[in-house]
Amino acid sequence: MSIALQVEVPIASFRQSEAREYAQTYPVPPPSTVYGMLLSTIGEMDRYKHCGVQLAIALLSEPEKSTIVRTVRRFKKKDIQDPANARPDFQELLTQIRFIVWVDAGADKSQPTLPERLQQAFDNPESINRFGGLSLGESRDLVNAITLLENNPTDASMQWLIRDEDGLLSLPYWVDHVGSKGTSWQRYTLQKNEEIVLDERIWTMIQFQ
Amino acid sequence: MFHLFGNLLSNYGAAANNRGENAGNITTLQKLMWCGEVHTTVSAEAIRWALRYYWQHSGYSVNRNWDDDKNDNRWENPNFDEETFIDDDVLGFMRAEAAKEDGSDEPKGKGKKAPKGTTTAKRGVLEVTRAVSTTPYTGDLTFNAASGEKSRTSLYGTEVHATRYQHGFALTPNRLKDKSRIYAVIDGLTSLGEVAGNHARFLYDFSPESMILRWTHDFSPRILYSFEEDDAGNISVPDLKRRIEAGDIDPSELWIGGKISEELGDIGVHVYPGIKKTASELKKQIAKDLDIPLDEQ
Repeated sequence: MSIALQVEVPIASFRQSEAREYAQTYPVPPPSTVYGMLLSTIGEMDRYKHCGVQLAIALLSEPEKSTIVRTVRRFKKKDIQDPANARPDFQELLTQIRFIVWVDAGADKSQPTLPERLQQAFDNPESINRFGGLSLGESRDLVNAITLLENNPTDASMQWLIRDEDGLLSLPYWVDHVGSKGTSWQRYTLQKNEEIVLDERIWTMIQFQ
Repeated sequence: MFHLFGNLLSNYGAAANNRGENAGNITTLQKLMWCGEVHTTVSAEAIRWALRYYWQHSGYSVNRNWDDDKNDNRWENPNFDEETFIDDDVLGFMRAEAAKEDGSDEPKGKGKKAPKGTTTAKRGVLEVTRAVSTTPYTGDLTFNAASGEKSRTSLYGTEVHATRYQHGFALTPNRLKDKSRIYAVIDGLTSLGEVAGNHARFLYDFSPESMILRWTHDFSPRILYSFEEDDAGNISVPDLKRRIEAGDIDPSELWIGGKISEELGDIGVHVYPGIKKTASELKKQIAKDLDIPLDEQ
């Protein structure tokens, strides 16, 4: 089973894995971030639950990039109030992000699978026990709208995220939040082409290795 | 499960000195690209700070009190207590201890305990978005001198933006320890005074001139940043109307108040000329749906 969702996010930042003081953003939400948002939509806490699911992502807009200064928290002193634990740092933001994500059960062994649970959530939103504003990236970066698409939209203006071993974009599809030992990346390029939809390279399998 | 979403539009005012970086002796405003133009912006943290400050001065128990004399925070309980303190419950907290495993991981296997060393963070139930100006920043600047005896650092410039700001929020009351605190959130967000702009020296009023609230089972707000301002200063909500007409938003889930109510009379939304009336009518609906009496707040 496969479904397509359109997602609109007014402001977000997808912090690059290697970014330190200057918090650069990826130009597109990484598959791991989108997977987290999908789990949050249905209130699933176990991030291993739907391993094996496959995602395909296509940007509908060209998000604009800005740089702001913000307070960044870090752990330097045990006393929570110590001023050393907060300092201003630059952060890149993206605005007007619109994309479509296709969710295919792939090797998802859970019953029901992630696309089936998402379909049920849209059929009966009141039955979903979830919490926190639905966000993409940081918690304050709220998703404005997530909509189940009836038909399979393809459009020449879409920018497809395709797997490409020579691609310049290195994006995580699984993130280890304690250290980075378990984090897994793949290389991608963004390409405009209506025919890409038939290409196997649009699919990323979410899996813990 | 019910969710409360909101999109609030501030009054028109002159914002300045907005915690941005300095460029030489010019105090800059934070800016971002918005619909192809440069707009000024106010962080979600500044709005959350003002909400906590409102609760502190309205008689609620807050863990983090702002001491105006010392210009610093004073903690009641550094170990946090979401039962007692409204800010710990609504805005969340994090104890500064490094987690050894992901806080989101569930215990693996029956009868096993949660992983040792999990973080003691509580995610805030209320999420507030960044505020964005409705009009582009055209580069207005004031040139000033410090009062009193002058030195070579007494001259300074300040970027000023005369505009309105809009920001959104999301809250799922079922996640609150005390669900009746949803009333205090509505009261606070509809009464915000000193949010960032011109902070200590002047007042930039962040209380809404217009607001859109949505009480729904839908997971996504669909109303964020829906206010638009034209060159003549007229405010409209074309995207909101489009979504209602397209059937993506059930109009009966919307409570709309303030100046924008003038153009939304007959499309099936709950509409009131005043902000306070809108808030109190929505609170009555929440009291009915969640079975939490209004007088418990």
